[in-house]
Amino acid sequence: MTDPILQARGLEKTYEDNGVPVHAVRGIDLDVFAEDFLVIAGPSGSGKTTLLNLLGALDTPSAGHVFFEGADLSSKSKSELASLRLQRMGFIFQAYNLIPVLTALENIEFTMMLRGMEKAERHARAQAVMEELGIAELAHKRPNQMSGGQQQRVAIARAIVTDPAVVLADEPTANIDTATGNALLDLMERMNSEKHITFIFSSHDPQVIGRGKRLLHLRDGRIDSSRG
Amino acid sequence: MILLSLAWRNLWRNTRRSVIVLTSVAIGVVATVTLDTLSRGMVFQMLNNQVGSHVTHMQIHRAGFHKNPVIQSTIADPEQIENVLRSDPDIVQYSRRVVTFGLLSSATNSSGVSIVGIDPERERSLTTIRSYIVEGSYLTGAPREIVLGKALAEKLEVGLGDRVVAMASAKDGTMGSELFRVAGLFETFSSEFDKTSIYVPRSSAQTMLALGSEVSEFAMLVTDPDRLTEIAERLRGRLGEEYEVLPYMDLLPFLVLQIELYDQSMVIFYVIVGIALIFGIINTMLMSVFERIKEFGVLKAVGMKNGRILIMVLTEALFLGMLGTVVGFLVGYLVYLPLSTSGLDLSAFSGSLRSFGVGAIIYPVLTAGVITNALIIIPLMAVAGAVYPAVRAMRLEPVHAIRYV
Repeated sequence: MTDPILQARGLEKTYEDNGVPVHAVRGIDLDVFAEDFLVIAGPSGSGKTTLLNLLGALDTPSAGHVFFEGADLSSKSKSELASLRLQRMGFIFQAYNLIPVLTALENIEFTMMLRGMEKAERHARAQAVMEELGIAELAHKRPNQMSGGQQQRVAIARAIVTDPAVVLADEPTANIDTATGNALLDLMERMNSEKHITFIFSSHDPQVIGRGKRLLHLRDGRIDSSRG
Repeated sequence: MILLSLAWRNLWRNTRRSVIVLTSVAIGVVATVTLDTLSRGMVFQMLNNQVGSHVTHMQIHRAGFHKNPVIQSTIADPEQIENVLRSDPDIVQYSRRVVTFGLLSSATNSSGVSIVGIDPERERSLTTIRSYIVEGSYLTGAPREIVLGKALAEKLEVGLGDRVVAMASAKDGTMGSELFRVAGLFETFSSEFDKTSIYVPRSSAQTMLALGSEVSEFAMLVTDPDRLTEIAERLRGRLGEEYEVLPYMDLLPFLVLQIELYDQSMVIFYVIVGIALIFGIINTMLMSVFERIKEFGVLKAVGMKNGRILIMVLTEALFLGMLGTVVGFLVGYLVYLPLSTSGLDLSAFSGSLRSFGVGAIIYPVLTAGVITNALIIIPLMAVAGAVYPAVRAMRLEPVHAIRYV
């Protein structure tokens, strides 16, 4: 077996809500391997989004460690973590979160621009991904001219266009209808199998849970059960 | 490039808000540029009036005369000076003068004056004093004619054709005096000059002051006033230490200092206007940042570093400041254009303006200094106003910002 891309060891996250400590994540150990299609499931408040944020270097643990490709994230500065997210990770959010003043094409090009890629190359790559995801006709539309499903396709394109090691998706189907959600999951499954991109989802949507090759079920910040 | 494009488009997310801020910046710039060009015009007019009407580009005296203008301090050999001036290609016109202080008396009154003995014909092409004659005529060359300021004539209660007596210490230590007949009255840009200056033929002044052929000064114009220092240095080398060669900057140090101080004070003025505008910019940029907290969270999540977020917000403010400045400058230029030819008539304040030696009509002057002050200081102040909002944006934690509602 290959080394895991992501590892969590004794991971804990406690934050305060109106002065009351909330233990969102309690002592989680987890290995994520290349080409995983992992779903972190659980009821609201079970800690799945917090865990996803910790794995995605968006949040820092109260205790324990996250290792990405063998490197301990707790030893990295904010700037290094930003570089890591830019170079090696992709993110898909529940509310799509495209930049409203940019067109679909520019939104997809944006992370490549941040990486300092030449205009011609990033343009070609963005167009290729859009063709692949069937959204080429949306290239010059702004987010407010697109449906929720179209926006989420653009968000997926933005997440995968840089060939990241892992894509973290937080409730990606929560704001779209079932048919569109299924289509998006088909798309991500295809990216997983064809482009070997690792996906980690946090979701309580049964259709997402059903697609997971691996499943972690959280309850009260702990792994309640797992599959695969 | 996307970052610039992003900053530009962010500016227009809330068009009404941006237009209001742009308008306030533009109004500030119009007011500042108009004030700056008019004030510069006023200061330059003060200088040009003095140089053009009497001082000229440069003067030569016996060494020490400028600091201590006693009648004994004369140029004993004017021919020597004239030969030097005649052979210098940069001297376009010059004239001999006798200058001293004395008393001018009429039958009813008397007043201390600066007596200037001139060669009327040569002085015609050297200064503009004859253009200020409002009654009578300029000196014709006839002996014992005098032209004086209208204000002085009123004080002495004399008019054209009346007789006045000038008295001053002569070179031989006696009290020299001469009877003159009023040929003309002038009214210049400066009430002070009008009250204290009289012009008489040089020969009459030389006789009165027992100077023989000696003179007090040579006044001259040069081909290129921008090279005045270089020309003065050359003349000093040729004339030796016996004489002082003084460009107008040395003759009117207070005015020159005023111009230098003016440049600095206008920079302060621009900064003050900029500070007033900063609060509008801070408010606008803070609102803009607060409206986009979630978006900043996403930008940070996908790997945008704090430095780029800082640059993006500051660029938005820079665009705001630059656009407002350019619009304001263009409007200011449209205000300047007609005023530069017609001038701003401030006759209502002519009394106080004339006491400053300015004149009643102010012609604004647009210099490179005005342009750089406006186009650099105001946009920079706008950027300064965006620093705090930009730092707030930088400090956002992506995990919290993304969830912000």
